[in-house]
Amino acid sequence: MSNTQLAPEDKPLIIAGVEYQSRLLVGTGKYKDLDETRRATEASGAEIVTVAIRRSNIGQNPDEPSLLEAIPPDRYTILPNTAGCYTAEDAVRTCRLARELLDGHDLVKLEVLGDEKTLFPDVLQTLEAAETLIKEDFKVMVYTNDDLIIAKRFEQMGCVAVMPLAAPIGSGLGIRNPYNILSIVEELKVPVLVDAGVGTASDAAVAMELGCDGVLMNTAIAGAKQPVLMASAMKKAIEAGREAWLAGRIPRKRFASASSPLGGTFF
Amino acid sequence: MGIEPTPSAWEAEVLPLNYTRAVEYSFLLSNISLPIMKIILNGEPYDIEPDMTVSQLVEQLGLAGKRLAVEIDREIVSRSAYAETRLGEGMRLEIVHAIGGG
Repeated sequence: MSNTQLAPEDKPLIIAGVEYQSRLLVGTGKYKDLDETRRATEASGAEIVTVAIRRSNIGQNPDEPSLLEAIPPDRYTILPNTAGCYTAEDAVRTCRLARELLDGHDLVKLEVLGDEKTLFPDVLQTLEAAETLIKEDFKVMVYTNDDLIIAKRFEQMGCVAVMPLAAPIGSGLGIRNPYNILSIVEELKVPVLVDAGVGTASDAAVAMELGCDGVLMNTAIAGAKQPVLMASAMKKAIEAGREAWLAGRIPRKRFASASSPLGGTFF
Repeated sequence: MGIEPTPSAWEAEVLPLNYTRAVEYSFLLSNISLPIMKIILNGEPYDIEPDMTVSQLVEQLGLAGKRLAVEIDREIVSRSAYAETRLGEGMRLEIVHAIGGG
């Protein structure tokens, strides 16, 4: 499925009991066409791919290719999202439709938005939706603020992954609050994935170096001048950041520490 | 429906107040050829033949065999129930599919 190689010291990412080799999750929005979507998704090595649920076009050419032909569910784990929902009710409805659409597949990305300008999550509505969805046996990966208290609450409720934002959706501002992300990573047992805000490969690497279990991104790849190349860059950044985290970085020091031995000099 | 009998009531031997409108009924029955039923499909008014099933509608829209999900009046209709689920006047139908999103 994935062309991602795990470092020998690494373990696979496990979400809701399923193992994944790739720690990069990608969205499928904003691409030029389905062929570009397919090529970029392949280049990213992602195994979990998000999709949106929208009305079918009535009266338009029914033979036009569909997203799930480009990203077949037998090859990728399809993660339907509730993007565009501003109420718990709409989000729950969307998930129910998605489960029907995907033959009972119950892994969903829950996001309930609170504001059009920032697309920040409405945490209260998100909590309400998560509660209903978990009761209905959905496996909920939840998009939320970089707020430790709320993140813990989602974990306690039974969400299978908590996905704090690094910066507003599509902003490309990178990890704005690394210490908040770090606190969430340190305190939670379920996978923590940065979702939203990544702008370029180094941002993805930073997220992984903080110890995140994965990163979910869309615009940073689809909006790049060359999406397929950026997908490949992101794949490497995720792997590099993960390995760096496993390796353990050196402590920061204010002054230099010579790399070459001080003894044995002849001058 | 107002005071008009439901479509199934037309088949009943005795209709409510039938003695007052016997002539009108026979006139109507002999002249109705292609009645139309109105539903709301994906937010827009849409005319269908009465008593159409979900599978007939999906077929008519050219969506048969496509990966989609159907909701009637906010309740999911499972794929296995398309053939036996009949549409009724004024029902609000949503037909959705997966598209690119993040």
